Amino acid sequence: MPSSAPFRLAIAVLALGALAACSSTPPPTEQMAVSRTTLTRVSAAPSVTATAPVELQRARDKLMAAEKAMGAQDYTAARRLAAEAEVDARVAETRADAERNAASLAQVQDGIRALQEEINRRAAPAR
Amino acid sequence: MHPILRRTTALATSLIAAGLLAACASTAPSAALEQARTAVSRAGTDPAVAQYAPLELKQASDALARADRFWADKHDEAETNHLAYIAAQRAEIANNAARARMLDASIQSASSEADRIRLQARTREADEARMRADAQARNAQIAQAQAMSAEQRAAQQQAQANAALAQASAAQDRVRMLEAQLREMEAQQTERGLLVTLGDVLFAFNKAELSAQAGPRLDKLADFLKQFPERKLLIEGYTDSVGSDVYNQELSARRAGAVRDALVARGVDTSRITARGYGKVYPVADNASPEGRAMNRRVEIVIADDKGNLKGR
Repeated sequence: MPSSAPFRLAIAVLALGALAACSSTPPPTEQMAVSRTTLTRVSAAPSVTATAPVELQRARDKLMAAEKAMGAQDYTAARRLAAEAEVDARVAETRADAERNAASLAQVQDGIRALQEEINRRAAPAR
Repeated sequence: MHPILRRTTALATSLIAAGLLAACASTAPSAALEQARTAVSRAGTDPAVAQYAPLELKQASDALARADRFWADKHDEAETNHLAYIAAQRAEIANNAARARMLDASIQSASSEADRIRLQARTREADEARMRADAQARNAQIAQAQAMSAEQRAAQQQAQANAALAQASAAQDRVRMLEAQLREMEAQQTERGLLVTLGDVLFAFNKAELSAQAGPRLDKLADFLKQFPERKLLIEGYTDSVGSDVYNQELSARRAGAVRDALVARGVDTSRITARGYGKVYPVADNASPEGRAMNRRVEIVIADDKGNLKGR
């Protein structure tokens, strides 16, 4: 099959090229830095460890895996894990923010209720 | 090569290529991608996310678009799944951020509501305190006014008591004065009234003219009568038994009239006075002796007592 040989060759070359493109990935230095900073910040917030411990642990695990991949020079895995660790940490952070604000709002509303009751109680015997 | 075989070979190659593509496509991360798409579009339709987390929402949409593009261009399952995961997590971040910021806005408005209520309560308390103070001030004023009127009443009563006392003492003074005057006039308290006798010596012999000696006694009598203008009086003339009845009657009447005229001249109202002559009847002493006859020649003035009792003959 003289006509099919060049065709197969072409496919093989394409496949090799694709592999080569993959292995020439540069180390995700910037993403690693961003993820480390984000995780440091988020881990330091006590509200996050309290309200979203699972998400936070997942982010930590992913960053740790990313560090390991960096060591193994598997930069693609490192980039993906680091990027995922960042968004996971952000999810944990924003959820903790929301929970904290919900608690604060409840507190303020309780305060208003107590105040209103106090006013009513004071107003009742006076009238 | 046989054209059919050649065609078959080409077809097979095409099929293999298609199969390779299909193999890639069959492991297409449609599940992860669709999940991400659902998450992003749900976040996008939430008005709170659009309002409070537009930047995070855009990052999620961008991440989803990158995943879509990457899948369409490269058919790389692992990278596409990774990008889809990023997109889904970014959608979650947008949801959380929107919720956090919306709650924050609610906290702000609730806090200002609490401030408003607190201010209102404080204002009302202040108002009530002021009203209480006003009421107390009013009550104090009323109490003061009452105390003042009580004081005034007390003062009035005191003044009345003083006046009564003064009146009483004035009355006592008057009684004392009256007694003194009566003593001076040689008045006698009789059952007919207060009796003052003007003796014969105050008249000229056998005449009705009053002598000068009678002046002081008549002055005193007139003064006394003017102090009691409500009291009526009788002036009665009497003689001794010497002489005719007609003469004696006429002389006694004239003498009584002279005394009346003298009193009227001294300011005593004539309407109070009844003057009569009785002649020789009603002697007060025996006509046999000159002393007795002298006592019978007289003018008696009877003054009504304080109850208005006055008895004529």
